[in-house]
Amino acid sequence: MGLKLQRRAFLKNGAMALVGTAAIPSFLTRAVMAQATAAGASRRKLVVIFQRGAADGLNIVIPHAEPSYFQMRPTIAIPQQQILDVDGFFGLHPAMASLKPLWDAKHLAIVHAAGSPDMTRSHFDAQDYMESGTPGVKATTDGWLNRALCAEDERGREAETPFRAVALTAEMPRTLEGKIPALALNNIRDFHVGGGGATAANASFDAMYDQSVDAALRGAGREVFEATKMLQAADPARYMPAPGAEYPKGAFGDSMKQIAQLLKADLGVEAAFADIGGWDHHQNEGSVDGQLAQRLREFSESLSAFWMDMGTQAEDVVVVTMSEFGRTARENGTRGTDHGHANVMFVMGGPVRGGRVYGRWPGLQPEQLNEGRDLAVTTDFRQVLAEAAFQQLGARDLDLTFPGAEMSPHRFLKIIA
Amino acid sequence: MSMISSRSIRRIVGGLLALSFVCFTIPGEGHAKTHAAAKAPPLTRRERAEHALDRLSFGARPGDVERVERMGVERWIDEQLHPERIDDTALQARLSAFPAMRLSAEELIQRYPPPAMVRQVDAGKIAMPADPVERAIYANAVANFREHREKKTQADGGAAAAMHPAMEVSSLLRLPVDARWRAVLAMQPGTVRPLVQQMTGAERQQLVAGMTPEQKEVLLALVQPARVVTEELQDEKLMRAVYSQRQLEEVMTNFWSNHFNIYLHKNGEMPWYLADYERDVIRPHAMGKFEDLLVAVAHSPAMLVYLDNQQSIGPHSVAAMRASASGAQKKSAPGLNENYARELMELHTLGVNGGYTQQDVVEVAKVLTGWGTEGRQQGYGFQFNERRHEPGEKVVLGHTIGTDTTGTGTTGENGEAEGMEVLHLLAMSPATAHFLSTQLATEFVSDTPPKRLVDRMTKTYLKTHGDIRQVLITMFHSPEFWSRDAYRAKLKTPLEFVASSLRATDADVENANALAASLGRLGMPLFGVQQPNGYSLKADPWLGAEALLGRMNFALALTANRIPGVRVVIPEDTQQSELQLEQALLDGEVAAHTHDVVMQEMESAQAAPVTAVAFAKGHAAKGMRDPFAPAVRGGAPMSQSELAAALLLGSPDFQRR
Repeated sequence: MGLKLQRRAFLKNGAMALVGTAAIPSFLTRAVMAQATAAGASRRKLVVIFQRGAADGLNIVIPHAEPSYFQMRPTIAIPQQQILDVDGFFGLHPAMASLKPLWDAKHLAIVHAAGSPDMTRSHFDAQDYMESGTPGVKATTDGWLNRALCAEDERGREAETPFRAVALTAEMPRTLEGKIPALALNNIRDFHVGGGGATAANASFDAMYDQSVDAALRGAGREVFEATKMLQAADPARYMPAPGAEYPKGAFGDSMKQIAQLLKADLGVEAAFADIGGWDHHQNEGSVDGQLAQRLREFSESLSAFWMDMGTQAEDVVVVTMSEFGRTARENGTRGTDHGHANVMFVMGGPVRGGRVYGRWPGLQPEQLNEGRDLAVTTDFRQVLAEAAFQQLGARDLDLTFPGAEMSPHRFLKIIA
Repeated sequence: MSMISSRSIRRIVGGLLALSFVCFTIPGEGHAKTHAAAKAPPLTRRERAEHALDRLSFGARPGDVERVERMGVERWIDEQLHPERIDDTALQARLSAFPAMRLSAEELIQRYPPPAMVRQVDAGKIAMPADPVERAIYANAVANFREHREKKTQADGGAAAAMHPAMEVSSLLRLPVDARWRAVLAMQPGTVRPLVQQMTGAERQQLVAGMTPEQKEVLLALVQPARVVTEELQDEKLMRAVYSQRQLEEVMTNFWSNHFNIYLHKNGEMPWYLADYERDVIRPHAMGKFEDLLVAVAHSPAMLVYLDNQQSIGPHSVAAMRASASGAQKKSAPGLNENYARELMELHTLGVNGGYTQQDVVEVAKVLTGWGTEGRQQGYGFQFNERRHEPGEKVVLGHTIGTDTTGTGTTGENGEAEGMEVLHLLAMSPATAHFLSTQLATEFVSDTPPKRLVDRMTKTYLKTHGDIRQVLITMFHSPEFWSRDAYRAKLKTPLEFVASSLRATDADVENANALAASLGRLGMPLFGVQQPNGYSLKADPWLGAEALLGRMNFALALTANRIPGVRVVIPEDTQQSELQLEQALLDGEVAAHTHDVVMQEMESAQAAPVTAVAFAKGHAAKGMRDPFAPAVRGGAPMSQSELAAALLLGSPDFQRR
């Protein structure tokens, strides 16, 4: 592997024009090296989406062949003829129409009745458990995705980039907390001293930290300025999504757009995280239209735009979605649903064996329901996440990623090729 | 770790000369123990004053170091240890901007109803209040609640039809202040919020111009009562950190508030539970007996709700028996909730390896069944509910609880007193003494506090039955506290960074709303930790790229006066002023390299002026932004000295304390 290849990879991302040819800064060389030399596994990327608030999986991927579905949800059930059937038993909510082509092209897989072995119905606890990856254990201080990066097979890795793990959130999500340095960015356009443009103050702060006698702050400062330089080279302000990729308005679409931007800029992103709230529909959830439909439309259109935007680069990317728990099988007295148990997860991407619903369906008969009220869990959410971490991040040490869960490849659902 | 500038070396030499005047004694300590520290030069008088201010306060204001040095660092520490002797009227004047925070829990709930109460008023279960101002607040809250509910029922795509406010904005703004206030109060319920939302920032400023804090507060409540509570809670905390003369009391209040962490967004009512938490539960005991503090926290509705003890029901209690007998189809089976019991031992007292078992957790959970809160209409106070209390014997850490203290020969039937017995047991445990001493030494001395120091603090704790003030005194008189290894060794948390920046620049904070939002951006929203662990006392979590970059941007925005509601005056440009700034902001503790960079920047900025942008603009963690907070005008290039001050506040040097 010679300089030629590095330079080609480097030119490909278009950074050259901005930084000039005289001297390639070491951070960029290192980033490119990491890209060019890493083994196949680490070229793959994992995007993790959290739907906060407990999305109603039974109205998202609808078991329309279950007669009790319609009986239990007299006002909020999606009428049979409006459901986008996927396999004769399940169907998608009509607001998810934009994802149907991905399903048809076998790039979208569904895991139904997935969830946590912990029975809590508290958003607070359930999100915490799902993000830490240790249901029932409050003392865990780090997140599963950070541990997955720790568990990554490091052979072939030559350099780190500050963008290895990125969250498009104002604060570092629990999922990414831990040993591996991760970036939480509310908005990549603001990630600069002075908020944008190369101010003199930027260079001064850079110099100050770069030469500081304070080792901890010197290290942290170098990370900041490497990241800002890499972003500046990628020029996020002038980013144009690929033709046809129309992100919906709103925070989630914006997050997905920025993830696409970071991935396409070849900054060395391996894991990215975004979240979308507003799924806690205790009242007036709606049916074909209404609150859930609105959230679902934004959710689905953001994901399909991301897919379009990534184009051929999507072949290395897997997106996995989750929500802390599902909702009651029956609708409640206020035309909504209460906190339940199992839920649906989506897995989308190039290497995904899509067009299939994974997991054992537990049924909606009263005796089949968890505590007589919720969809029962038949797939531990960690089986899905472990496979994604293993396949996309090369996280070979599954005990480190999900301590106590006894995960191993034979428990994978074989969703990802 | 320490950064020694040329000036501090001069000072060390000066300090050595002055050593004979330093009359600091180390009680009960032989000279042999300080032998290791003797290799590095001891702190000079000046450095000791700086160090004390760095650790016992939220940072020095200009002139503080001289003042402490003059009065004697020991005397200053002694004064700080007795906050009741310190006059704090200047702070009280600033706190008058937060009338809701002066109300009792009952008064606060009555005047500014939480969402659950609004729902009950809407459902006709609670009557509208008689007081006309409260009536207007309730009427608007109910109208807004109904509007929100109806919007939810509408099909999507139907963007809410623009409300036409009942009143013309321009004519409203022309009214004199009292008439203006009364006019808003008299508006059709449900129209105040859209009116305010439609106004420009300048119009909103005009709307509240001249109003008293009470009037402004009511206006905000007409928009949304939760904002009054959430914002005043955070703003008051910031104001106290910046302006209280009783700095150690605030540092300790913050320490315990974090130790007994509560999450503001646990549920819609939590801001109301939190309103009196620091004021009535934490601060009065911050330097008192730990057991009193622990008991107060255990009785606080905030903690009982946050850690779910409120929901815990003894499986054999009257309430559980009644429920199963009636065969009521419960949403979920009532039972024990171990959450608080576990954290009480793991995080609040014994520590993670404090020698308790899972069985102890279950037993403590049983003991604490019945500890909960009153119904909403009674005012959310503490209530022991005997009907939920688990009967029978409980054994905690080998002690049988509730054994025959009354001479009746019964065990395990002591109701609330059982909980008090467990709290006493935990507060007096050597494991608790050691864990709390470690935490205090981590906060005040270093991320890896010397074991010998922790051991001495533990001894003091046990000897004084958990007297926090005495433990602090042991620490503040230890050679470890005053060692050069400890000097400037702590990384400031974002709260410490923001507060110390404001103190160093002698900032005038008229409205702390943007500062609270800034803390969110810097990774430390107030009362914003979901997990019961609270924020870390150590450096690692604060070294993230976005948060560190945020500190630099905050520094630029602050000195350029682009933080809404905050005003600083940086003295005018001269070559001389850089040194003056170093002196004012960092008491001259600036590394040579930092100094050189600042000097270069000042020269180049003359040619190419720098403009700062507002920080945390439009950013409010979990969306609470005061519509009446002042806006900032901006865009003017920064003066050389403003830029130099920003570089100094954002420098690695300023991040240490």
